[in-house]
Amino acid sequence: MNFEQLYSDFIMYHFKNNTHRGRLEGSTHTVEGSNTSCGDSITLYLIIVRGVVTAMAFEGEGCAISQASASVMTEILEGKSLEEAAATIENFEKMIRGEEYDGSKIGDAAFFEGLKEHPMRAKCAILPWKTVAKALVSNQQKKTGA
Amino acid sequence: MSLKETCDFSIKEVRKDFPVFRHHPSLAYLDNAATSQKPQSVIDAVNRFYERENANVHRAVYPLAEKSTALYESSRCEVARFIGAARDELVFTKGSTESLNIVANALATSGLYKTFVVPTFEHHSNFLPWQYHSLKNGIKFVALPIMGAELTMREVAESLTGVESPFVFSLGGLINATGYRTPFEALNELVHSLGGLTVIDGAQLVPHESIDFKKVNADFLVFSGHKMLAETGIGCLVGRSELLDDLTPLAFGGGMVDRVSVEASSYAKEGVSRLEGGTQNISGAVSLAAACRYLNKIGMSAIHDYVSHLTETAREMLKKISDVTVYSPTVSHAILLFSHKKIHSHDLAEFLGRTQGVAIRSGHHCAQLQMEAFGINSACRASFYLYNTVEDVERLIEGIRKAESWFL
Repeated sequence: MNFEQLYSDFIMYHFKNNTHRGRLEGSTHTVEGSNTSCGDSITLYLIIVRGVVTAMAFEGEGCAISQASASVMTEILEGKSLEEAAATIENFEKMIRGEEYDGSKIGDAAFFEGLKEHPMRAKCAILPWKTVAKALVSNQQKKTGA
Repeated sequence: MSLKETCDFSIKEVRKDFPVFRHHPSLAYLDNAATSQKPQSVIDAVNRFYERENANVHRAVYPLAEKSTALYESSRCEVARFIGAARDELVFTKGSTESLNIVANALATSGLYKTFVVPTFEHHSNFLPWQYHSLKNGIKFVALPIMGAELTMREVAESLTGVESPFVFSLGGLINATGYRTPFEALNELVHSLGGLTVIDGAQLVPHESIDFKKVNADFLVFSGHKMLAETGIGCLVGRSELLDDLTPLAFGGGMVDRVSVEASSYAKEGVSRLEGGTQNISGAVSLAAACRYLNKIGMSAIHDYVSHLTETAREMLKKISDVTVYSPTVSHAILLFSHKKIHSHDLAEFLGRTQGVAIRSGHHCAQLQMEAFGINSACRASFYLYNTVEDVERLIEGIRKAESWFL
């Protein structure tokens, strides 16, 4: 994969125009994630009401791929039920690992598929997704009282 | 335009010795602090060993095993000579990390030392073993704070004054993240005067400077083969022989035992093979001796001067890019740590690697506390060696300019 494919127009658009950047007032969930191998960090803010991700935002520092991935993810997950969100995350992770996945579940995040050939950079793309998964798990634990 | 290259050896000829440049003619390899490329003579020595000389060492009596043992031991002599040590002062290990782990573990469990002291700019491999073994063995661990990238004698003297003795001070000779050349010779004197032991991490130093273990006056010195033209998986622990004899081995097994009995076994009391349990990396030792021969043929002093010229040329050129910050202090060699205000280090390294054929490193360089001291998470690192050219440096600079127009 050449550089232009890796840093596609889509990824660069989201890097330069990420719309969900910033804090989210009244968030019900705040989760932090970091990539110890490169120092990237992300904070995700979510408002989860009645089992639906009603709003999301992110703050963080990282390369174009990690920032674009956070931007795309927040756009896709906003408005999804927790079950839909979990399925999206699962399929995104499968795609990045190079496993069989259901493309209908992940929408535009399929633009990151090429990263499966670049394990070092796949870590950058997957950081926001791993981080949001933690919020969903903690939400589940709260619900079940675990 | 190419700057005049000032050196005592022919770069053209040197580059011909490294087959990687034949296979990748447009590669500007500036990640030498991570690992070096290998000359044909080292590759040939390894091939020759496997084709003609391979058998296990120190065990069998047949001629091939004798040949292999002789080769392994003569490699030890050659490497020891290269570093100004005696043959009974040099233990072969997997590399600097293993060497440091052997020393930290042994000194921690000896019960002789009260404090371990390590500056915070060290590579994690010269920080974590000391931290881990001190905590595990109830030894005080002192992480010397740093301002920026350098240590001053005064700061170290002040910090060491309150430290409970006897203590161990472990210090890099050339710091992996920034290329800072520490005043380790003077610090050895200071530490000894205060009743401490010194360990010098020479992973980045030994490839670049002619080091005489006796003159340096350190108690231990460690280094890795792969950063100085040899194979991966081979390195050295050099120590004063009376100190080596007291170290508890990390690996128990074949080759280091005296008498085995069901109740309790006894181990070799002295000799470097005490610390070389199990079958060693014989071809690695052979490759390291071949690498030392190659470096000596070119001349360590000439290599140092040439690499210094490249480093300073690159430093001046990087400084001219207004959004670039160079973190390496003035007293640095072979390594330049820098970042771009508007382009993340991974993006810049990826752009340089994929579009310009310029290989540099990005990330925290296994020195998270050093990054913290600079207030950053990651940075780019360009590192130079004897086969690099001023053209490589120019391509790095042009590449950064092109990345600016692509990303910004």
